[in-house]
Amino acid sequence: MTSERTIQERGSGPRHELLAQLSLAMIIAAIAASPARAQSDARPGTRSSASISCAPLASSRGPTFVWGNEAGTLRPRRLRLWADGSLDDTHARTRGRAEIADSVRALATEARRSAFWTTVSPPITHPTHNPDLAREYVAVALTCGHRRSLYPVDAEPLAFSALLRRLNAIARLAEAR
Amino acid sequence: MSRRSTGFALLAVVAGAAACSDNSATPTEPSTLAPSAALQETKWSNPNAHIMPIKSQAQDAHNTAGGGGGGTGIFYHGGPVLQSGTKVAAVYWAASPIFTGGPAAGTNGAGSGDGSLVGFFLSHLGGTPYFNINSTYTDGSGAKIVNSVTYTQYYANNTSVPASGASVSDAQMVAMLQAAFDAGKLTYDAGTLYNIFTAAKVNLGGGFGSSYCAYHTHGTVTINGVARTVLYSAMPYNNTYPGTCTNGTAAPNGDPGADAEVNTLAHEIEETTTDMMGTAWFDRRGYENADKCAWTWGTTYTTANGGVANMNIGGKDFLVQRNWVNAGSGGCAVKY
Repeated sequence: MTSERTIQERGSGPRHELLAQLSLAMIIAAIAASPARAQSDARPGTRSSASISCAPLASSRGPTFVWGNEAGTLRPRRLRLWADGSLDDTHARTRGRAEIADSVRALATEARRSAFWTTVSPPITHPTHNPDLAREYVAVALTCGHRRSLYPVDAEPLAFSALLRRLNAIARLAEAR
Repeated sequence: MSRRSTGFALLAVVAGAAACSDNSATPTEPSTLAPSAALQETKWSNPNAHIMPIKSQAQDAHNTAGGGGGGTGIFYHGGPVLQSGTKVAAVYWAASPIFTGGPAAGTNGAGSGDGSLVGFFLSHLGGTPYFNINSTYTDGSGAKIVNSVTYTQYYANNTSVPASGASVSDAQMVAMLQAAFDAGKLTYDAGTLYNIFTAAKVNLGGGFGSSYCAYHTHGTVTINGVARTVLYSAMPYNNTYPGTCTNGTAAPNGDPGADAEVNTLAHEIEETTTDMMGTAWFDRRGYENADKCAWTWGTTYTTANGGVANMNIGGKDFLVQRNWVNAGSGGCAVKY
């Protein structure tokens, strides 16, 4: 048979066959472990090399998160959240609090690890199907880099809208007092 | 490759992959808000999401489009405009007048019979220095848009009125217009923008207050057995959401509902005039003329009643957003 001939041609007996099978098993195991690592990175609350070097921008250097809406007929809104927990909502600014600062740090880590960090906003060069739809944006500034994404309100990927919901939740907490 | 070197190569691959799979236990960082599992997903949430052209395709489109725009910041893409003058109709879809002085429920007639502030605005918008900004735009032949707005007809439709809190789809709006044409309550005209107004808290279009405050679009109706395009705007009651759909300043005419409404109404009329099908005038970000100046006012002044306004139209003060001037180097203005 062709397969037997091939083995015989390549190998030199049972020892070599065992080594070949062992190597193959190790490769498969290594490949299988890669998604596990990816999942681990995506899991909130765990620390990786990325989170160690990726901290929210120091408050003196600017806000960690900037988000809001622009375009269309909805009145524009812009919120800015600093690492110290202070929040600027278009006009009013609230002072920072420790628990809000903790939330900013946690959400920054999560944003860096999540699919948000790899989303690429499609360029909008023509009016959308509803030309007066607002567009929502989120910008994240960390010590290791920054990202800004913008989408029409009905075309946001889940990672984007999830981050937006979390930011709005933090904003409500910050403005609660 | 020798057997030995093959073995080393395999080991190197395995070792490298194993290093990448390192998943050492790590402490959990403090968080006062629960992490979101959805944050990890990449799936698109809306099946209607548009696929936008890549940059080079968009630039090609600009390069090949007829007309100009030059350095004004807005470009012509070859589609139709309302060049010879804009005609407008008002459809008040409510059980009773939406705005003070508006036509009685169930009536229809010429625009001159509309006594509301919205009706006044529609009747006096044409010919103003403000609407003249639209004359800086042209059709495909280079003919300038005429500074004319004619309020031709109204219909205070009190049939199948959407309830407070109800969401009204575009299909329902088009069906309502079709019924009005069929019943002779409205006269169909291809160059008329039918502005559909609803009472407070009606979610006209389904995203009112969260996605938009008003919008313009087009649909298809059947007139004498022939499918025709109808231009319409969804004009929900903006003062339902003062924080997101009004400027929040005192109403210049003491009519908060109508004073707020004319701002987005002007926006939709201007965009329909210069980009009725979404294929004529817009910029590289997909912004139509009024989009480029939305919620900007220029110089404002205080009116006799303590309101805030930025222009006078027909003897009344209004606070209406600026519009994009397609001349010189372009810019937002309240007159041209």
